[in-house]
Amino acid sequence: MNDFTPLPGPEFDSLSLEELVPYHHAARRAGNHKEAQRALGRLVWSFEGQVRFWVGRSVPRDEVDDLVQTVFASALESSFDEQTSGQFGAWLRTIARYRVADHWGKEERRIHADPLVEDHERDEEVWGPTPEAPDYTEDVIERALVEQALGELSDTHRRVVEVGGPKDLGFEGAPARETAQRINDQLSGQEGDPMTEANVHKILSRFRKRLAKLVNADNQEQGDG
Amino acid sequence: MADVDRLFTEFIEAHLAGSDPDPWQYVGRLEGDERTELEELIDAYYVGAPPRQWDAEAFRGSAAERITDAIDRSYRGQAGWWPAVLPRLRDKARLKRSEVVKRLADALGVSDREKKVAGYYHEMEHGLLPSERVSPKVLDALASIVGTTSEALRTAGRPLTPEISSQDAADAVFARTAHPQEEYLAQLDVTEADEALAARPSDWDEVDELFLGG
Repeated sequence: MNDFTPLPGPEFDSLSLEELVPYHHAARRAGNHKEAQRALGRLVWSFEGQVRFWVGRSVPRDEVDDLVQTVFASALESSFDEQTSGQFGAWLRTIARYRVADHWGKEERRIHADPLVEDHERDEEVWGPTPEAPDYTEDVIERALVEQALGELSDTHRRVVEVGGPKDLGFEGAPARETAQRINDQLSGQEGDPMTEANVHKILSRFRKRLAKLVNADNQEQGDG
Repeated sequence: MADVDRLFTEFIEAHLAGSDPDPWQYVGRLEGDERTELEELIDAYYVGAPPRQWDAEAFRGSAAERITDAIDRSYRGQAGWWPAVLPRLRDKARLKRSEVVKRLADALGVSDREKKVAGYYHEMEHGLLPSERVSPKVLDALASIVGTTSEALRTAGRPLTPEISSQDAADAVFARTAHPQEEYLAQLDVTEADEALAARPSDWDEVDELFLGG
């Protein structure tokens, strides 16, 4: 047993997602399952939609529930080993990717080298992993690829990525709303529509997607070479 | 790709507004390359998107709560992910628990002691039976019934990381006749629990050996 003190409601509610994971683990280790369940519920609630979508892109609908549960279970177990990294969503995305690969009987770390099944319709019989989002947590993304993706952006979009992009990739990691505000401050007096929180998310999403393409192509090239 | 951009914007705005939009409703409005493009964009967006705001009322009875409960049961027990995996496999095989028990008792050649098998199977599903004590014969039979492999069951039953509740669970298994743990009984309905407990004679027999002999 270790020292663990359950937090009262307001303090518990103010825990960030990154703080909820160690809180859950501390509660488990102390044998306080009720409190651990409380933290777990919030974690699952927060990301269930994302995980369901990531998994649902690659497996038939009747398999999705199983895999979503497996992803959360796997995430908890790997986080006991402190394999988590800064960005919780990216970390869960990585685990979802591996569990989908497992589902298809593929070797976890070779997913980049697997042929992509991109042009399937969701209800058709063709299923397989579609590893489009880069794995921020397990693979080292070469700086040159990040620079290449950045270099394809306009000045404003590049600035958005530098401010709001993930810390794992060397960016500031500012929240989208703050990023929009800072960009607008810098662009004050210039013509054009103001930057919005949604625009920041769109720019960052396109950057992630582009970077994923570059990483996948690079891995494919190295696999061939 | 104008439709992609428009739908992606609509999706993000709805998500940021907290309405928890169904991404497949947006993706489903497109076909071919455009559909793939939007899927990939939403996939990437979700990596950095704000998480769903906590809503205790909506959580109750939700899929998220079912996932939470299944994982939680596993951590409370000492049989790895069996509390999460076994009910799932049973559901997928479209078998009631009573049917699994009947087939299991038959396969093990102890159909005359089905109630005792039922008690042990309940404990497996609730993580109260130490997985390493369950014999390969039981796992082989069960795997065949629910459509998996005995190796997969054995792997799923490995202890989880924080081995904090093993003594509690062991108490529930081995102090098995007179004063069963309240937590265990609370997880069963009264009839099931009574039957499971009443079916256990004090004498060690072949069924005990199968489920506790390793």
